[in-house]
Amino acid sequence: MASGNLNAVRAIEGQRTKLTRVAHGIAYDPVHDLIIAAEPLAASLVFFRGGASGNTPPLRVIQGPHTGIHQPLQVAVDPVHNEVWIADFGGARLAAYPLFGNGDVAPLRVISSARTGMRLPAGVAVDPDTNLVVAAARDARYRGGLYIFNRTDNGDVAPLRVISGPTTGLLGVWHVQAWHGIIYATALNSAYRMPYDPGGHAPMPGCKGPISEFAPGPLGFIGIWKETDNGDVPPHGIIRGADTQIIEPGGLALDPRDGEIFVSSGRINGITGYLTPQFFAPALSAPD
Amino acid sequence: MNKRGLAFACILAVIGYLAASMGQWRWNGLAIGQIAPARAADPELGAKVPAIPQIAAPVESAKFQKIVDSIPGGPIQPCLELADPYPEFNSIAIDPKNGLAVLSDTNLKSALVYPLDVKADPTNRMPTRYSAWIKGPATWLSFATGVGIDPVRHEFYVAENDYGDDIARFPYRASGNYPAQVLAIPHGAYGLAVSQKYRQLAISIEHTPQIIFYRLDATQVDPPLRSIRGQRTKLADPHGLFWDEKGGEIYTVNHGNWNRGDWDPDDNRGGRYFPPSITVYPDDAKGDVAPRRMIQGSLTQLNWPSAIAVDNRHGEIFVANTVSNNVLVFARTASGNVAPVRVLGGTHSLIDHPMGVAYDPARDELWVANFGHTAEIFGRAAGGDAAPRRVIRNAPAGAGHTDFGNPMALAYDSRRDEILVPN
Repeated sequence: MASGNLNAVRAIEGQRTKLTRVAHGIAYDPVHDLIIAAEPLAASLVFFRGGASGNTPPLRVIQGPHTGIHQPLQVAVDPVHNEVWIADFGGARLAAYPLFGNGDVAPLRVISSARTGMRLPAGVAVDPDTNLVVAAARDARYRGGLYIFNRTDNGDVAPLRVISGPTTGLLGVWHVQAWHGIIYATALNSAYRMPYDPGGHAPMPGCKGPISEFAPGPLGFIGIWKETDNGDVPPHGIIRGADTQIIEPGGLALDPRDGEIFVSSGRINGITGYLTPQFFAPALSAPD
Repeated sequence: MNKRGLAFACILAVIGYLAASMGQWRWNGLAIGQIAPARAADPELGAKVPAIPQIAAPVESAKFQKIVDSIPGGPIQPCLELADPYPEFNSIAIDPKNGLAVLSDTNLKSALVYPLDVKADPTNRMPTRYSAWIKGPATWLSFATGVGIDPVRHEFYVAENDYGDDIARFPYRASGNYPAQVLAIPHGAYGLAVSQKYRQLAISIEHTPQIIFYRLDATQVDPPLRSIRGQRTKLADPHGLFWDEKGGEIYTVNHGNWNRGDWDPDDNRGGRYFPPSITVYPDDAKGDVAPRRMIQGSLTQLNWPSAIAVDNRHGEIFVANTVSNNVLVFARTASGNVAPVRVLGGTHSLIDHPMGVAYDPARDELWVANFGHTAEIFGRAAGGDAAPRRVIRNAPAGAGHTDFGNPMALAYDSRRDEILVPN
């Protein structure tokens, strides 16, 4: 496979696309050949044909007051049940929409798990094989964790299981993927803190200045768990260390057929891929 | 495929990966067979590096440290690495009096300084010699976007978007890993402009649409002096900024995205898309003020406008119109749904995803920075598919450019064997 300093083979860009320059979520639906992007600066989901290119209008846009969308980060597609999920960071919830929805559509279901203390969900994944949804979020003390729900959950429901605690190594989480009973997550573990209030009015109380990107912090990593894990469980597999090029991993994508994991990072402004067929082995998804 | 089908900051880029691995490639290094930029960035000797503020950084537990090396996997080397080892230009600021231009670089998180009379023959395929390259941990430069310049104090400013959330300030003599003076700012900074009259700098903020103002010498958590924000302002995902001191106005270009719910959990109105626009305010404006003029509509040709500059002498506005690969020129006093008076762009112009634009009144020249490896210098009145007088290169001609802009999401297209990257 190609590496290095490559130009993209095509780009979807421009005013007609309704993309913003701040998309923090993208998903591909291989069944319907769709690209879906989540746009926090417009509170929208935009849908394109898989082969789209240039300044092309989206096929559909989900946007409006009935959507309840505030700050969508990761987006996940469930092509079996024809649903699209978002992790709504600012809205502190997961929400499912009809895959073929258009306009100001209400969510099919919302998981707003106040009882568990799930905060700031940045990542969401859906596993149609196990009928589960996994969120990458923070707890009440802002420690990272993976929250596992039934796909059909709705409302203020407790998660089935939560993978969180000191042995997990999860300090800050970002994106997550789920496949055949296996969870893959990016442990961002960044020292970054927003210096201003979210409204951009004034420095946060106690803020002494901006936080350098180079501030010391623990290494981020890619961690692999089972969907049956619960509690303070260490990852069953990990990609971590200087040789990996991973510092603060962000986006995450899987190619199970070829046993590859792809990771993006703003810190290194690039993408890396790892050939790890062992992390797609059926045995990995079996309960301990 | 689209020739320029290039991963561009803030677009959805699709990277095919079909061939064999090149191997031996390193982050922030050089690809095998490529040529080094003109000069290495050396830290300035004796420069005092300010302490990074103490924060409650996340700490790995002893339990995790004890077991981490026994977890299957570990330091697996990547089989694919996609990144650009060269700078990729973003914004420009110039000081005509002292003869220098500062260009920000989002890719390698740096700023490059060139003399305004830089020798940059368009036929030269090698990187152009710069006066200084500011890069390294002490600089605080990260997702470098807007640039501003203070010709009186001999300082320049670089805004850091996203996880930066700061303005880094440098003296003209800065080079290498020079320690910046830094100021905390709201999340999502893009444009930056400086006023001598008010002794203020202004920053446009994408996420909480506003233009926010600080003292020129503000540092750390010095508070803002004022801001232009609110629904009447028509600000919607503002980008580039220009402070026209002679005209007493401040200009910005808006991409048109709007969502108060992004930062206000009590706002349930949902997001909106407005047409892109240019908005102009009195430069002493404060609060929820309507723009004095607004250029918006189907005739404008605006398409992700990213930067703006004003030429008072000839009464013109220049807009870096990113996705249309051109510079739009409007009359300075234009308002409403108006067409540009001329358009500069085309294959001979070499303008390709312009992110920065600046006018040099001393030499009557227009500088255009592309998100990639070139910046072009034209005569002010150039239009159509004019060839540039000079071409600044930050990489050898023909070098690829990933055009990533802080990629924090990914998808894999299993039908086409492609990686999808929003930027």
